[in-house]
Amino acid sequence: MTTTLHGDSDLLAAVEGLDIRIGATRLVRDVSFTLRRGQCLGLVGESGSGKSLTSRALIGLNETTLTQTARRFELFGQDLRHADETGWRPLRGTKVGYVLQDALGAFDPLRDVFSEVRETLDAHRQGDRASRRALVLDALRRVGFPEPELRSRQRSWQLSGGLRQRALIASAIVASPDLLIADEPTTALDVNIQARIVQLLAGLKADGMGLLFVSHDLAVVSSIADHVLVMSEGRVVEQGPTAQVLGDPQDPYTRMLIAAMPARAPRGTRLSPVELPPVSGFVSGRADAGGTTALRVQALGKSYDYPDGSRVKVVSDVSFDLGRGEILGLVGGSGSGKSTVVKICMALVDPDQGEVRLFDQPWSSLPERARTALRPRIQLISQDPLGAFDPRWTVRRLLHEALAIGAVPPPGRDAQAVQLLASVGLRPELLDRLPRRISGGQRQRVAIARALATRPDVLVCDEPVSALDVSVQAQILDLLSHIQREIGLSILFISHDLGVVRHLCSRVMVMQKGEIVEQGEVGQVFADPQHAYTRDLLASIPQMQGVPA
Amino acid sequence: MTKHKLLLLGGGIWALLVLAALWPQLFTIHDPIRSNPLLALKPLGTAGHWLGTDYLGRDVWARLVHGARPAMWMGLGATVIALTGGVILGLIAGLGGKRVDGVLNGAFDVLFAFPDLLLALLMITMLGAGSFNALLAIGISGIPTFARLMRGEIRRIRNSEFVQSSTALGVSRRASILRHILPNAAGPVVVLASLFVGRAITYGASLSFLGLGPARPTPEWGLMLADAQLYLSMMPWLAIFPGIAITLAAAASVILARALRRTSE
Repeated sequence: MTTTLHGDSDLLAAVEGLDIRIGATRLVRDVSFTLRRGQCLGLVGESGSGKSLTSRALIGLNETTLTQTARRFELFGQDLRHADETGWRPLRGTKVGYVLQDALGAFDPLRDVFSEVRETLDAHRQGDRASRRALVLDALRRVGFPEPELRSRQRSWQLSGGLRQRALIASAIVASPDLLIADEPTTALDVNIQARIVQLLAGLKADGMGLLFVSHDLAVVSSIADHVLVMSEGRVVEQGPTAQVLGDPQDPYTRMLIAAMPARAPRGTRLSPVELPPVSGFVSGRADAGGTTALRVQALGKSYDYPDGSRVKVVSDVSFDLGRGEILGLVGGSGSGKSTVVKICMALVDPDQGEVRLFDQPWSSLPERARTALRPRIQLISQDPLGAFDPRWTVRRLLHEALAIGAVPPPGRDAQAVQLLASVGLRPELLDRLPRRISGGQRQRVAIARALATRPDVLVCDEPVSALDVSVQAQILDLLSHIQREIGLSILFISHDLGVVRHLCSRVMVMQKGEIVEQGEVGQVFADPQHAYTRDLLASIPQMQGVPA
Repeated sequence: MTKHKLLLLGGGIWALLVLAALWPQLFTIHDPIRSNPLLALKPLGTAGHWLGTDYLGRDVWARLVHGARPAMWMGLGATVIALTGGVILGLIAGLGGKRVDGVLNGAFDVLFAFPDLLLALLMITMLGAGSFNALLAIGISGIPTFARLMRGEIRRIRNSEFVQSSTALGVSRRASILRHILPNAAGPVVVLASLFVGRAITYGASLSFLGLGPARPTPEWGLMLADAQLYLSMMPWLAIFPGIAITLAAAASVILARALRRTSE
């Protein structure tokens, strides 16, 4: 073996001038990078930036309707510019592993985890039965899957999100590939689980694996990547060593991304450069509201019955007060009971124990008929506004319905709808569009406009920015705090993202397993957490590495 | 085929059938009922009777054209009965409480276990033969199909996020049902109705073929088929033409249903 060859064997991927097109549209333009053994390349960008297309090109998984060209496209020194399925198949699994965001969708629900992880070995006919079994168990052990002998007999849907993601990584590394592609591997996970998965990937990198880490989250990327590629609209806008790109960004887009991170900006500062108009005409905040507490939640309890007869307590003894004009954060992992609290606060679900009072008046204990009259005063903004809108209705009709509930007479509704859109930074042209035909950020603004149309006093926001890109998230967070200041709304803000909560809220509650384990001023809770779970969550927040805060 | 072409094809056949049902005189000058033994069993291509005549000397084309009316009557009438009954029962089950839903849904399931045509036969043995009774029997036997679909749609939409969100907005239950639940449930039900028209026409012809529908000498496709049996070896077209008419009507309803489904998507 000559020295040159030996030196080259460290080079896993070399891409120069990669273009991906559909018809005449260029989705990815002129992307170049190299990836070496034991290195991690971070691919950062927002939805539609072309980062997933780029990563999928490295395992030959892009749709055949896409045209792919490159000046150089090599994996392990092999030119793959014109490779077809038969060319790719021997590489997949054994040389290149691939980890998807959605671990539930990646596994066959009918087969157990063991068979799913073993599938790569089966497909490449590696080893005999016993050695395959040993390899599978070893891979599961390496990713920290507990009791692999026993629990790998479970189906993927019987596992928690974190374990499922571990199993997926195990299936990607079981045949010891040299290169691992991870496309948003932690996006759907809670922060503390995310931190463990990142740690696991960093361990694999230290063992000499090359890692292509695709994410929209700069902080996560900065904690693992050696080099970063920032993509926007199919183009690489900036690339270089992580500390250099994130510490001293040259491109305005990179700067905007870094500025948009809520965890880094103190409360009250704007995250996005977008100017917002005054929320005129909606400075309602009913004068007769009465009481100093917008929402009083007392000793809530709720259990659900399962078909097999078992009973699970999802919320137990939850009490808190949402003061007038306050933004109160509610943080917790998935399955902590946050959503049930939201539904009870919105009186969509009745509690088994306890009650919710609205401005010191009965609320959850009222019959539905009486509640309907009060509902305009408390409004909900959900994570997925698309699901919250009647799919057949235009934005105009959606706003009209809400304005009617806000007792606006029909002749004035059109003018008010335009004004509402303006106050959330949208143009009147959107009125005649269907919600599914506008972008996610626009949709969430329409949802906020619709909630404002009934002139509410209380806004309950259930993960309102979780599905959005960081720059859009910044705009929506700015909008919410802007509206809160202008109208004096009281907001209950539910999120799994501590950075967002720290930026927006004055007080915060931490929920775990249906109970509130800690609550207090944001500064105090973040600086001096009392409960172990809070400490765990805080320690797991990905920090921007090498960047002065 | 594109949505528009489908709509055009299905709609075109339907338009012709409806026209024939309303003004059969537009298509033929012959009387479909008056018999003339002198003209009996003329072959295809006879001057003035291009499709020939039957055993009583009646013009086959005239009987086909006039047969559109009882077919339409059967198709639309039975569908209206099945649709109305099914939608009402489905609504009650879908919007009602657990107990109401349980009882109704159990009943739908039991009825659904029998083939529709068997239900219709059962019904007609109770009601007695006749064209109106056949219509009633086919209509009623279709009710469980509509009821099940309606119930499922209502349940699905009732639990969907946008209905919850409209409740949270302050929309009253009644307004929510009228504005959001019903219109969103309507799509699949309309598609099923369009399919059902064709099915009812086929079933209607089957019942009259068995002698359980309208009485002779009504010009009816099923009866024409029954009458053609004796002459099948000599004059097969006597059976083929009414067969084509039934097939065409059923196909038009399927094509239209497909076009409607694409439109509602």
